Amino acid sequence: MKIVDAVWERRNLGVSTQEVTIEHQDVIEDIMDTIKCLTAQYQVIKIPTGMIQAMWSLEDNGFRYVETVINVTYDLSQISLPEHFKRINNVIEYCPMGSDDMEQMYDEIRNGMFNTDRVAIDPTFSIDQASDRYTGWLHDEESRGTPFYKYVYKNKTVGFFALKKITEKTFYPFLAGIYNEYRRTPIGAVYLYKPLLEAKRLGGKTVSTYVSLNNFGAIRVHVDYGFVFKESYCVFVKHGESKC
Amino acid sequence: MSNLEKYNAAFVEAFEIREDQLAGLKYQDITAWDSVGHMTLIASLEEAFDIMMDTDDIIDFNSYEKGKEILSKEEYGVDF
Repeated sequence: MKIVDAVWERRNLGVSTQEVTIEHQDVIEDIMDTIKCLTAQYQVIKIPTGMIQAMWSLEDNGFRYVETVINVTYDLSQISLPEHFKRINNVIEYCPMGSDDMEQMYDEIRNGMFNTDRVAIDPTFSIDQASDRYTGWLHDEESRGTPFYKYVYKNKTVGFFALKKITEKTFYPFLAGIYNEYRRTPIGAVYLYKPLLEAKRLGGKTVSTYVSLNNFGAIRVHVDYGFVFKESYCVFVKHGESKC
Repeated sequence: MSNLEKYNAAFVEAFEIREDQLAGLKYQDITAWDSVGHMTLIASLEEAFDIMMDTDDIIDFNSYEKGKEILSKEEYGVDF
């Protein structure tokens, strides 16, 4: 079991936050002892799917289910684009973002670009808080030198993706999206492919990322591309009074 | 089968919906009409009307009504 004081979430969400990651070998008694000691205003528990008894105990202690997250991987030696997406792919390009592009990305996020994550769908929070969380996160990544890329269609920027190297041969495309004007178009069909190409170009062998069941469209596209589903966990949250 | 019947049949088959749900239907209004479903629909329409759609038209095709407008263009020649 890992317990993290997510100090960055105070800046992002305006509340103290603790995140607990439960592992398969953890026993219910230890899990319950741990969660009863949590003091943050926003408590987040990540628990492997299938640990039903522990999940019911979390519910008994006021936690609520919010999402299931799946770790998916892609073998870059097998890289290929589903046949039906090739025509879309041929008209979409990608390239590194400049400072103006970064501003456009932040504006799009502030306008509610992401609305399926666990903060955006939580009625205790707001879309503004969810957007602040993304912009705070991406500013941190930008300051660490993480590369950002834009998708371009007919000389217009239609979206972005960000890619991180997490091991010598593994890349993590941790966020990607299509801007509002183009969201109701099939451009999203190739939003997964460009990060794969870039990871391969940078010498990667594997891509590893996460997708939430709350974003069913993303699940469908990952399946269509042939991503391998590795492991999954459920997320439970609890909002409490400030004790710190 | 009229062109409208062929057009409707492509939607009904691709998205497994009823014909009375088609009017006003837009991309992403239903789970089935995402990027994967969209390309299934386009393949059905190209086969039904024996045409090859331009990629920009595939991207612009974002509603049931817009699709009719696109297919009515001179290069596709589908009359509804």
